[in-house]
Amino acid sequence: MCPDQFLAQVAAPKKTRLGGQLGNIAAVLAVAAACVLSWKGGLAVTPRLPILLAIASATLWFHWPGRSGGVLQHIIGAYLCCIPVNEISGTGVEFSAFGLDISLSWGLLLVGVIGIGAVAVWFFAGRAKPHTRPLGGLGAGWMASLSILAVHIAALAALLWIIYGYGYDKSPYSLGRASLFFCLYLLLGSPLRSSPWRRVLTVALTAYYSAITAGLGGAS
Amino acid sequence: MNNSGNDLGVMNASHAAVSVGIRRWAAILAGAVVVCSSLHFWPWQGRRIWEVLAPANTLVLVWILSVGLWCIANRQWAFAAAIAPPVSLTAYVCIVILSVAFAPDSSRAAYYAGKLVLTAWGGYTLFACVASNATGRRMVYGLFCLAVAVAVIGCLGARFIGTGDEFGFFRSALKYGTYLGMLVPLCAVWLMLARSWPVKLMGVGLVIAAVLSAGTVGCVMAIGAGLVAAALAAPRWSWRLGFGGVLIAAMLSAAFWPGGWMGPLRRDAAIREAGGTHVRQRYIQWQAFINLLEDRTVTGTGAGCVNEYRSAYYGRLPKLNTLAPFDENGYLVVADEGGMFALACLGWIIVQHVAAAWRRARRAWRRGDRRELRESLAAWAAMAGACLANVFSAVQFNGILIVFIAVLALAGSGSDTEEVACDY
Repeated sequence: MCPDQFLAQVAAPKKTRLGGQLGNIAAVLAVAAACVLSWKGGLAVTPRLPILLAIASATLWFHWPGRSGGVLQHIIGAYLCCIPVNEISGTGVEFSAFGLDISLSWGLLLVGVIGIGAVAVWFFAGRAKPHTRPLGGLGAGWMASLSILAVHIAALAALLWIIYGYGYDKSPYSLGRASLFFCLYLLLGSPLRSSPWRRVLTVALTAYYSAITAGLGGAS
Repeated sequence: MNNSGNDLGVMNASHAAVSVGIRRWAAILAGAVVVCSSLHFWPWQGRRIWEVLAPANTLVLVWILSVGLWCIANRQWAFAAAIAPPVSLTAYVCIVILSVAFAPDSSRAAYYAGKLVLTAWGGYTLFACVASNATGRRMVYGLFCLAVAVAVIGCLGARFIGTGDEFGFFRSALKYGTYLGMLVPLCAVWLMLARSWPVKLMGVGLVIAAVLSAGTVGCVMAIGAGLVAAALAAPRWSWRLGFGGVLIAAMLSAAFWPGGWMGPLRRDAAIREAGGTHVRQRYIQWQAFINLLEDRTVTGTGAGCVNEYRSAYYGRLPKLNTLAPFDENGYLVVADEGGMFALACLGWIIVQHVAAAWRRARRAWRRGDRRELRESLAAWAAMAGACLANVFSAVQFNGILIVFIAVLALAGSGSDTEEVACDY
């Protein structure tokens, strides 16, 4: 790449180009789809005090002051976005292909959509490096917690195999689902750090939790 | 680049100069909290009101009210920001509060979350304020040594005299083990790195007495992990050999002690139930916790409500009802109650403070600052002990959490504020 091309690429207003926004668009659509799907399918885990979540999601509209406030807002925002995905993770789509019966959970599909958006940003927006270090702070905490879970699962599998002759069969699903939400946490970083996209997410989440609070269906 | 308005609760010199009076008040309260921690809920054990208003919790409440009013009256917002807990701890508390939304019993969950806010958030500000200067840190380390000695002597006395309270003021072997698992490495390393030989020998005696009084495998493993961690981080071979030698001496003492005395420890170390057919209920419960996590990965069961759901997740494994109170796994309980975000925040807190203590120790060694090295190695060992103790019981239990928070504040506080700061 010649210097002129490089400068043109660096100086280009990437945030305003459609290619640069594909990741955010995909994330918002995926969270909105999760809200709608969990709403239509009935809540697998019913919140008993949903007003708490509605209030928390409404506060995301405002910019939380200070660096600590920004970090906290990102974490709370990611948590609130992950709840509707958790609600639909137990269900999914089933189809046959190449002689195989394939079942994909909605959670995996939605993370896939956001992931494709992130790849598209990387492809269209000049292969720019992500502006956040994914393994700093809570990212390191996620890695530690996944490691703790994996060690427990491995130790229990060995223990149960020795004593009962079988390692228990559900543990890997728990670890897989935890990893899925780690990916979601990483992929939601970009929209939650951008004020306009965070506000779009705020509207979707506040509407979702307010509807649950008002008892307008959804809760099973 | 700091992670928050504070940097792991460490105050700078200007804040410290403004607040001499409030720091003295904090030192009095923190000293009383440390001493009360060794007595646990004695002499009010069995009364429910003391589960909330236990002396240590009440002292933290007094601290929050007094420092809050003082900051408002004197407009000391910078001081308030300086002693505020790191954002990792605040995030953990926020996630636990939000998890109340999913609790089947909202009042119980709110009560549990309230206790957590009081102890974790309030306790961190108290100990961060005291640990912001060398005198305060020395006082806290010294009082913790006294507290552990009181707890161990109380336990040994109770078991010798045979009053029925096998583990002294704590009653529960698991709570006693968690308390010692965190604090014996802290105190032993701090005492053994003193210049005076009688003080070093007190550290050796403390480790041996603690291992002999222990009734749980978690306690012995946590003490071992703490001393091994200290040996790995120690910059001199003589110190490494000292820590290793003391650990081996303690283990040999336990191995050759009369069988009846060590009975509770041997029973706890077994991986099968008494009949020999089934795996210990403790490990079956771990499996149930992991299974539960599949359905409630993010939402959790709500703060303090894991027991409402766990019975449905045993699957093929038997539920034998042989589980002792407090026989939990702290990591899995946090994951189940608050979801994976809560466990990730706990992991973040641990990683952040372990890294802070490690960096401080390396920096102190390069500078030749023996006092700082002694304190940072002690805090590093205590963090290792706490991580392992949390596998066989839970550091979040009432009466134990305040000690874990104090260890975090000590690990995150030092004379070198640049080194303890962790990036987000």
